[in-house]
Amino acid sequence: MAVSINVNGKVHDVEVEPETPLLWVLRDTIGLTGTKYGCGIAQCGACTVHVDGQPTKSCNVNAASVVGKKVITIEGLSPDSSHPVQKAWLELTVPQCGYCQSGQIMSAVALLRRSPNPSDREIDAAMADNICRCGTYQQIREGIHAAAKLGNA
Amino acid sequence: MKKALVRIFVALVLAGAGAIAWAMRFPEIAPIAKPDAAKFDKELVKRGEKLAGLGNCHVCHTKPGGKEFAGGLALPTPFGTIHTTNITPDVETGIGSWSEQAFIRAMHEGVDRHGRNLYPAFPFDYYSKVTEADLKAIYAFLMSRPAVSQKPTDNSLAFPFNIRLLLAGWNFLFHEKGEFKPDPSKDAEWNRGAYLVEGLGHCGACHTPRNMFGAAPKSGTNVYAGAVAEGWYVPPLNASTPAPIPWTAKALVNYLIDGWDGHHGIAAGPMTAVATDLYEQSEDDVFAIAAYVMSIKGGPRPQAEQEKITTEALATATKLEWGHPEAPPVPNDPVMQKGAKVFEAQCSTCHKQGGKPAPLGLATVLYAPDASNLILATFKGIQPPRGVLDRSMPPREAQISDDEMTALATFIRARFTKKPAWTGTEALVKKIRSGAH
Amino acid sequence: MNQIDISRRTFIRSSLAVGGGLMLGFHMPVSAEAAIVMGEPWKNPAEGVEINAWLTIDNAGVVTIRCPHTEMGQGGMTSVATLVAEELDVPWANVRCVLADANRFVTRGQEYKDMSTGGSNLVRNRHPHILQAGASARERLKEAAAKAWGVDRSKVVAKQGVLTSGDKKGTYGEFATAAAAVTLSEEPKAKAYKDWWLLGKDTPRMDVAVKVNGSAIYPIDVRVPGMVYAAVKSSPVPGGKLKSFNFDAIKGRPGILGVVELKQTKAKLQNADMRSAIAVVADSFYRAKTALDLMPIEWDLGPGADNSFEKMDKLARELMDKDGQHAEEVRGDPRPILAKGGKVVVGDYARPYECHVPMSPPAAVASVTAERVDIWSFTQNVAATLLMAADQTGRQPKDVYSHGVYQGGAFGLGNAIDLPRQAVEISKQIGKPVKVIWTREENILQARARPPIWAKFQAVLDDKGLPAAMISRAIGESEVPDYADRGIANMAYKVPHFRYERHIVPSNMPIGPNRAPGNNNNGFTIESFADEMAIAGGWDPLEWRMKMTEGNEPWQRVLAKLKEVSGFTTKLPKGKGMGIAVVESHGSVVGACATVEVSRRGALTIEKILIVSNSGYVINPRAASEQVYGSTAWELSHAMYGGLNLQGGRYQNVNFDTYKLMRFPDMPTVESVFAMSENNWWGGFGETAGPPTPPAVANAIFFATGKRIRTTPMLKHDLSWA
Repeated sequence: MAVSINVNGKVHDVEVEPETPLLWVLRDTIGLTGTKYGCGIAQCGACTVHVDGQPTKSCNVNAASVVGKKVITIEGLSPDSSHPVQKAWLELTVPQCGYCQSGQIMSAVALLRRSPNPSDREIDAAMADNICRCGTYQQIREGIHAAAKLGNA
Repeated sequence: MKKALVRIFVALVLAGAGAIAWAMRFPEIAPIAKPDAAKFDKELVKRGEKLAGLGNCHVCHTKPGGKEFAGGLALPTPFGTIHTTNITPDVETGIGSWSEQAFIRAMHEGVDRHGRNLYPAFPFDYYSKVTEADLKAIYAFLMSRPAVSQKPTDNSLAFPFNIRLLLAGWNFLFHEKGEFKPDPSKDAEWNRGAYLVEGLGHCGACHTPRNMFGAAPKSGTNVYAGAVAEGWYVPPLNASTPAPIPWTAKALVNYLIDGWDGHHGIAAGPMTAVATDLYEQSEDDVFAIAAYVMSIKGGPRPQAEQEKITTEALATATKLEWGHPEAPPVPNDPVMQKGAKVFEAQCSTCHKQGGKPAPLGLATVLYAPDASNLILATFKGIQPPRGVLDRSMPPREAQISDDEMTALATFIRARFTKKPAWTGTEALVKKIRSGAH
Repeated sequence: MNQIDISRRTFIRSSLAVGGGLMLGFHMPVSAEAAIVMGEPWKNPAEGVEINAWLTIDNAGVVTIRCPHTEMGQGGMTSVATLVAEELDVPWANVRCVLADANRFVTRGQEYKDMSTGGSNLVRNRHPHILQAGASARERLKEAAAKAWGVDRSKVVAKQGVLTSGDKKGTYGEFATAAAAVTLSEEPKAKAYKDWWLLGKDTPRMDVAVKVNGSAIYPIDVRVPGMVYAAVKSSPVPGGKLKSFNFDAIKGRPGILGVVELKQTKAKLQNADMRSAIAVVADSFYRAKTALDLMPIEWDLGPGADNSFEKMDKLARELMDKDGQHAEEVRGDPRPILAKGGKVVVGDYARPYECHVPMSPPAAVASVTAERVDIWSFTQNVAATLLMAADQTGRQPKDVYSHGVYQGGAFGLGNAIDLPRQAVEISKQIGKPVKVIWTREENILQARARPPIWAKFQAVLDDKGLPAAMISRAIGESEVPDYADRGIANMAYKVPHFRYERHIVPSNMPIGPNRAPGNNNNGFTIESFADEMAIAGGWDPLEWRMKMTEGNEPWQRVLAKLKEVSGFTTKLPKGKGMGIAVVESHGSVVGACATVEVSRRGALTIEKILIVSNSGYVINPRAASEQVYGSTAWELSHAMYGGLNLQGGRYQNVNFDTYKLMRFPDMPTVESVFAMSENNWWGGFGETAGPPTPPAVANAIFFATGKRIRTTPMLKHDLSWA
């Protein structure tokens, strides 16, 4: 069955079962592999994308449920890594293995959108769903504060 | 028809009382120039912040996505919708011109600076128990927040409840004045707990069913007997709790701070914000709250009995978990089969054997008198309280149809509890889907 | 068939080449499609002339350094590039790095000496030949210039990419071709620490730009034209075998292409024998995985099905009270002294199985054709993967290409996995390129986990309150008993009479390396007991450690630094505590100081972890500290929340909802401080800050609550007080 999904401003008609998780549609059908599989049960946040601006774990929403909504992935955040969060991540060399960072960045961007200058507590709350096995939490926190200073996140 | 008669009756009673109250009406307290935030004692402000958290002020006085304390939240009541006020120190739209005395009077008497009666959705019938010293700290805290200019939204109350005179009557009939008086026969912890629960915590505002006047009685068998708030079923705090494992003080402390307990489940709906606020409070205060709530429940069970019930309930609930080798088969009934199918597709990834610290069969929500909370949690998801940030549940409203939800709720109740089937589930699903309360 | 599709090849390589500056051209691949490049894949004309196996230089003087080691988040590419660039003496902004080619390595005399990655070895043990590669290239450039200018090589200066001699001047780029033809009569020596211009300074990691925009390619992201997907299941009880399956039940589902049974192979290469397994192949991973979950499968679970942690724990605790099966007198004989009694201190400790769970679930893409085998796999050693693929397919290593890609964490699991075998076997059988992904559940069920440990220590104190005699009895798991010895048999505390014993408990669970293997467990047991001995003897734990390691310069340096910066004290109000611990591993001595608060109901808040590392030279303090933060979080995860629940011969908690890890709100502040011994000593950093962290926390909890935590996960203990 064809499902029509708007990803990063482009509409894709994809032939998948409607219950297919958005994650696999993004990765395997559309070919946007920046969004990562980590657990499949909405526990690790590696697959976080924005659906109508809300941070959403793409492993836990199916293709049918995002029809008519706007999906933004890490690839659609900026054309040239110029988003303040990406700039801060570069400056502070936040990633280690980097695998979770697409999800971390998408969660951080959503946080800064609703709270442009978040406190440490707000950061804790907003980032609790994103696991980093390399333990870059400290750098992520600094990165979010730095991005807040860079502004218009 | 009956509803209309009740409304007329309520209005008449309140008007009558209002007439009496009118004679004792409150004068205006003169406006003051906005106090200089920097002049408040820092320690006092800090203490006020904690106390404001205990009173959950920001929960009602902040609208979704809005500035903190600037009000504008729509509160649905049986009498119409009330919009919360701006309690930031903005002179024009907030309480910037309120003196400390005006603030204390509002909290104790339920009238604004002008002397106008406030709607009892503002739980002054609890806040009146708060000491002046604590109110002064809250005042210092609120007055040192950033001023936000945001005009309060007009309330859309149906006639005759839009007449403020009736409020004077309500106040006269239901408002018990006077600060909290400690009970010398009880220990300090109990008294502290009682002060917090009956005062700032205003627990009864949600946990006590309101009478036809919209008032929560402070004494009698109905106190803390469980109610409905914002569409959510609010479980009783007294002995009538439906929880399969009786609460203990320790479980209460953990639940109130972390927002969940392994024998009862997670705080959701309006309770989320309460647990989040309590996470920030001193643990001693939460121990005190637990001690008082345990006394409302009639005290703890004997230890051996508590252990026996706990062990048995845990064993039963564990065996009912999805995927447990001893779990019963799904009955050969179309609704059960359909519900089980939805459960498998939408729920079983997480709610499976060994998958969650609290087995579904122990979750209080399944023992509620109707399916409201189950439907709300399924549709809206659970944004976990502060103490348990990684336990979120994604919303499923877009993925589950009305029929499926009805079947799912029916199946879950039958599978995980021994309680009789819920009634009215189909209508509840439709109502919740439509967004009505 | 020697055609090279430049555009495609450049494409996959460009997404892997990373640069020294942050001013990179950003590229945004639409899909991570890899090309199978015929010929010699390491040759990329765009990268200029090859000076030696380690580097190329183009006309503009851009140096591309080939990193033979896996980039798994530890900053390996940056370490190799800085080591080479230090000797080559080239501006950092002109340095690029790519992953070196395994086929070239195995077919051309192992030019990189070693392509394995692990054991915190990269800088610690490989710096001599990596520095040498840079120095050698520099001297060849000088020699080329010397010849052209008719001067002696000693008169040519190579500095920051420029060669000069008197008024003669040229760039590295200009002399690259000539240098490639130079043979040196004698290899130059590496320069001295005092002459470093790049090493020892903060150099930002090179691989960040591709990791902030989704363009970094991990094995799970690789796509090859015509590729299909496979989901696999091995026996949930390790050691079990496939009995039967019913493919008919799922073959009508959309996109299902087939089923492949994988037969058990005997281990020819360590840790990489293939287990009995079943794979469903489909046109998408989701379809393959869903069908595999629905397919009826019967396993012969084997004798392991009776195993449980409870059973192992019971046996281990019985063995604790018996003389060890293996025993060594390290110094003197403590037994007669302990037999006499006196002030005796006894402590027993245990830790459970733990899993690596790298954020990327293991994945591999394999393409087996008549001519060649290509593989992009989860691994910490592309050369070992190449040999494994050759072994499984019966091909010559020269026909196998094991491509380097980023790893989404590996932590030891990448050295002990049969996934590459599965991938090439499935591709061979179905005749198509295939991507195999292990679900997170399969990852935990099949992991060669970190083994459990049990230890019992007995000591008798002298009249100064210091241990006069001590017996250590560790109980290890059967597969790698050596893990039980690390850091204990050779402990730094010089107890005059010390005997070390070991027992083994059998288990069906396969085990393997896991960030600081052995030390991660033993650090907890021995450093907790060190505090117990100190406290029993009336000593301050920090002073006790100084006393017990007198004359040991690296330890004294760490302890002195800890004392200087931690503010360590045992006199804090109830509910607050500080704890210290020091562990020597992977060539480094690392001390930790934990500050904790335990509330009345027992809620633990770890406020801060201070790490003092003495690893000798630090080539990149910033990157080293990043590893300190990471390995601290790693051990805190296991010590606070971890513990694989082994029941019925299999792990029961196989995803992040039940196998809990450190998350953002609970992560304490970590401060990284160096106490550097500068006597030409190179220690490791990748895993060394982990081991002292849990005992420092346990020791701090003791001071906060009076409760001694002897097992992990610590949060399972009731820490409430008052």
